[in-house]
Amino acid sequence: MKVLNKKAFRLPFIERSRFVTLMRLGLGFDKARGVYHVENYNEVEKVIDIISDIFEGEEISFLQTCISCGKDFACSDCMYNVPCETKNLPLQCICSSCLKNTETE
Amino acid sequence: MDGIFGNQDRGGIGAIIKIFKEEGRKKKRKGKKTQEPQIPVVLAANDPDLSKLRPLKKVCQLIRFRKVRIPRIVALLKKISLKEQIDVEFEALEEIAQNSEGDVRSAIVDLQALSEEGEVLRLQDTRRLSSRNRKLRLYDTLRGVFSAKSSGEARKLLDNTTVNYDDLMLSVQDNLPLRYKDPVELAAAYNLLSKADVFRGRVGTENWKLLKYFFNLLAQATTIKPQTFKPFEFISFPTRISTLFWTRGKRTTFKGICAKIGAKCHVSRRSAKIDFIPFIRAILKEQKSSPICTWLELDSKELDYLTSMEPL
Repeated sequence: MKVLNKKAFRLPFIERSRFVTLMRLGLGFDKARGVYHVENYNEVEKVIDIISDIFEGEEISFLQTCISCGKDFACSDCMYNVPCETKNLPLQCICSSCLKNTETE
Repeated sequence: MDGIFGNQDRGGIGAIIKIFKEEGRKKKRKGKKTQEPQIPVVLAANDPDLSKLRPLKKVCQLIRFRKVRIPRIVALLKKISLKEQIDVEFEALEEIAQNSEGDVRSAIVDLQALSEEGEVLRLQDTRRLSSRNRKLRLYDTLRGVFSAKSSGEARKLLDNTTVNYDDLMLSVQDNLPLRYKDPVELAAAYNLLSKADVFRGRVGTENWKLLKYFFNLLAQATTIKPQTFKPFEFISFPTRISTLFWTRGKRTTFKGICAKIGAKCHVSRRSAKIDFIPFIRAILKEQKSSPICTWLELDSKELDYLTSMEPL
């Protein structure tokens, strides 16, 4: 499994049409640093499918940001990993340590 | 917004777009360059991919709301139970959150319903909760049926889809070559899909009892070898429908040419297409300003189309 950071991640060289598709689906590209980042989250499932295809079918996961402490963490650390339907999407969540402390929301 | 329907709401979407544009113009007159309305307008829709909402999507910024995650629902339920002074086990909250399938309102309603009965809400109390049926859209349906571990799992997902059956079948057809790289598996999948198509035809508009066979065959076609599934780039909208949409102009021009030939030569449009067009193309290849074009009253656009079109 590949774990990517939504704020900056690298991809291998991809053909023009695929790059255009990724940009249309909501990725951004920093030319100076050569890294991609997620700009728009509306079509992020499709982005993950394309990135997985680029990495020859390897499972792709994005780091989650905790809304409580602001820390980035991976979905594999979460105890609700199996039933969660939006796992691996680069969204906001609550990390397990914050969930244990009652006053999170 | 997806409640806009029928004759009573006719022109509704156009009127909303007009309001946006007028507001945008007012703002422009005041010296601001943007076309955004002065007052932000929030429109809510269950399914933003509906064709009737397409013109509206062009003038709006889309923000997709996803299912709320289990930890967030658990945290919220915890907060509510503290404020409402409900004694509840943490595991019970987890069970309610999982059963809600990302719907906060369902979770709160379930918590309220269960907490009213007993003093301390325990895990065993949540067993009375029934599972909820959620409707799936095209992309979710495709993703679900292709990644299913068995045909039974895929079949269950197909029961919950809101997609038109014909569109679903076309989309599955488009995605099969991307899913199965092995020609033997692909052939088996297409064989099952063709049988599903036969049943779809038999269902028609009245024999709905046969729909289960259509779903079974479609589920089997997508799960020939579930263990070999690797994520791929889905084609979510049927390519056949999008091709028909993009070639509509060309097809209209061609129909017009056939109608003109038919009227002059006293033949049907079909006969004009099959028996006359190839010869007219051959004539035009030799001499573009042939007198036959003047006689058939073909304009320059139609002449260009005839000379550039692919052989039938």
